[in-house]
Amino acid sequence: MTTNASKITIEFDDRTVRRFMIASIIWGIVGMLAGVFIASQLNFHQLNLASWLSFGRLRPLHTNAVIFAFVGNMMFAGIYYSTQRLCKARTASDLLSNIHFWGWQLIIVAAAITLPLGLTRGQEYAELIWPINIAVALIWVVFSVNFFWTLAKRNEPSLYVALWFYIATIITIAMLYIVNHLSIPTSWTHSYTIFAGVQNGLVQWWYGHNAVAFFLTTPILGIMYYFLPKAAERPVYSYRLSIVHFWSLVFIYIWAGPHHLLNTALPKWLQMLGTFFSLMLWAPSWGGMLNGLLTLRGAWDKLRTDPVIKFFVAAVTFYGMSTFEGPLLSIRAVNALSHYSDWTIGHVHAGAMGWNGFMAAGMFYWLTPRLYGTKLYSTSWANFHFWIGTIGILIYVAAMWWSGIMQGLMLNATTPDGLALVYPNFIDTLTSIRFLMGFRIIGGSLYLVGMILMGVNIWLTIRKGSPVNESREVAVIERTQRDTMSLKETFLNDPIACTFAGMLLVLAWLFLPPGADIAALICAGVFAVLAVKRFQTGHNRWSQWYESLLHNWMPFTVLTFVAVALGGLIQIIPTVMVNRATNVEDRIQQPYTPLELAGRDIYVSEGCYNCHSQMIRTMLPDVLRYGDYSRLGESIYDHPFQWGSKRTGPDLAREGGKYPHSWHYDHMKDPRAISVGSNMPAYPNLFTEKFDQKTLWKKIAVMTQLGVPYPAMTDTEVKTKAVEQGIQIVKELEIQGRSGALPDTKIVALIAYLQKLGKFDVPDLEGKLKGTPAGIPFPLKPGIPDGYRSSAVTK
Amino acid sequence: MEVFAVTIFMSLAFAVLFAVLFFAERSQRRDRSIEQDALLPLDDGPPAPTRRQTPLS
Repeated sequence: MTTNASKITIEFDDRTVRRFMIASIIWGIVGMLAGVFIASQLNFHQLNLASWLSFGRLRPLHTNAVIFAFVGNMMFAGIYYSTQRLCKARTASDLLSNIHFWGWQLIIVAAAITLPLGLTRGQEYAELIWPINIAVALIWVVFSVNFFWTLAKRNEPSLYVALWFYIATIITIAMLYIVNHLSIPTSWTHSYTIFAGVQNGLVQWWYGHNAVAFFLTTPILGIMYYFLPKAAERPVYSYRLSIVHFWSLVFIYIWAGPHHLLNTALPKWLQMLGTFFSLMLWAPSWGGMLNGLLTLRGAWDKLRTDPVIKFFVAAVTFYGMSTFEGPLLSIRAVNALSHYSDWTIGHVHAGAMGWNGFMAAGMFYWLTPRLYGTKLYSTSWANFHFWIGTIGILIYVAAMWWSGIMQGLMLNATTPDGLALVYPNFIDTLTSIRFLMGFRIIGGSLYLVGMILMGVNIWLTIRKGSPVNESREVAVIERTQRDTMSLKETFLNDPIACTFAGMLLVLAWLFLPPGADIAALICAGVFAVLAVKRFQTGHNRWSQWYESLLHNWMPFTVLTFVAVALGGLIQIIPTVMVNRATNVEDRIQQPYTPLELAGRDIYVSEGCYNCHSQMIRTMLPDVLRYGDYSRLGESIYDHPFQWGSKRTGPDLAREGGKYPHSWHYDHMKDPRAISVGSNMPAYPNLFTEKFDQKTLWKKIAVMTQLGVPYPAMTDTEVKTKAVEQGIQIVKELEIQGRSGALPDTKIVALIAYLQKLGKFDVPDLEGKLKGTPAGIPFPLKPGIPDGYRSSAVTK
Repeated sequence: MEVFAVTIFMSLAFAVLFAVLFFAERSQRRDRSIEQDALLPLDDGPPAPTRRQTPLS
């Protein structure tokens, strides 16, 4: 770095950008290859070649690889490139950049090894085991320090909109990841989440939904706001719109998680909040999409020739489609049809392949010539990639819409009197969508071919050129031109006061009892009019305050954190009460015996939750098909909860006692011998492998610590109980004509678990604690009323 | 014939309105608009005197 009076020449750290870009392409191809492979397994069960190559273990590998490895690395490449340019400063620390890059790749490798081995936490997109969770948190801190340090030494006073989205990403992902991964280890490779049942469900989907929001959306929006104007060579359509887009998006998104749990045992008020905020998301999402598309005003001709613009325009359009579809799927009536079906899978892939994948492709095609000082090897290949990718997405998504709606309709169809199912056999509905699963392989393969072509094109470009680190002369700004805002200036002003007072009144409207809620709503209306009048008379003050906020990264970050934390606080803290209240409803789960717990760990490890739910919704067809609807209390000891999000196979919430042991024994050996047409993998390994007895006592101890009412047991007692129950199951199997099973094998433990599903006690709620075992975690107070439950259908 | 009168009146009214708004906008001294920040990605600044090429290590 050379200095000349108030101007300096800086050399950007583009090496880190290059590394992340290359890593993203490689992991992207690996992740999508895994996707095509597991899509093929759905049609050809024979492809479940070994236990570590089974669908249940590979599906988490696919999702984690695409989300954290492909999009994660792409996001880091975009952030490192644009942040340096927007701050007119080199990244603060090369050492931190190196640790970030290599640390992230090590995490990915660790995930790629542990997931096929069946080492998992059993929660979607949060499968990685606890030592890897800690590594992720540490590397995220390294990234955050490097990013904020760069902001602190910037030579541009104002923070451009892309940086706001990066700030929101960094702080929100940290918050979500830490809370959702709170666990107590039982060994180096296993832990139990501290949450259970509905509480776990809510926290998981608060995380899961917002992983989509703040890992797959906000950073990519930041990238859109930087790279789209660069590619179009014109400024973003409306900067004011981007302000509205940012604040409304980060505030609203965080509340929408419960839409993943509609019609379940989740209390009504949370379901309503989830739907309400999801519908509100339409506005900011489309505001952002339009801001992106209108940036191309006067540059639409480039669409014909420039593959970068093609990818960006298609990506933003897919963003618009996905964010239209998301709120639609959050409406209870639509969700009753779409949930647990392929429709959701199609929705997710429109977002991941269309929005994330195409933004990545556009950015990489734009970056590579600049990072290697040469022209792209082949523009026509890039154009071909665009078309084959687009066709691939359309085939995939259309097939999933068709499949999801068709299977949803079949599963929900009842006879005109409403007393019976039209298609009582689940397999019939699966058989009817098999050919559409084939289209999923075709669409995914076409998309993968495009990705491979991009990899080759970029590799040949790299070979043609040589790495270039851009150098630029920048004016050093005075320290007084940035980061001088005090806390008082940040918080004591009209915009903040009006926003918070308005939100308080709206919350009062939502939560106060009838009568008082209407008063709060009227107050909110009056207050809104007063706030508008105040804005009209002092809009200059409001604008000046926001401009100063943009010159101060710390106050901006604090306010962003407040905006995203509010939704979580309001939704999750009351839920802690719900789980421990009389909202166990009229049933309380029976704790698992040591053998059943071992079986449950096998169920989680094999990834059974990827295809089977354990949640009978408050819907007539669900009740007719699977039995009485699931109560809150029936998963109160489930660490982690296994409500699931997809039914490739039927729900298992009341599986216990439905069939004899021999049925499960035969079914695990060869599913098709029992259910003709099933696409479930066979599990021969369960018949030879022993279940883990060594850590069983520790597992029981951790469960007890988490509030599950186990009596005090020694290590020997735990093992003895497990083996005794195993011997009993083996005897029963022999009576049923299945000889040869050993009491300490995984199949016996799994049968014990499956036979326990749906077993409950009726708690003595009047007598409260009378007669309940020590440590039972209820009841504190009568719970929050839930209208859906009282009107639900019961058998 | 009223159509001419209305047309001329409306045209003049719009012309005057635009002129008034134009001069009102002109008379407001504004050093900076927040929209100017939208130009930041396009502000590449002058390149350094010599572009450095560094090998990938």
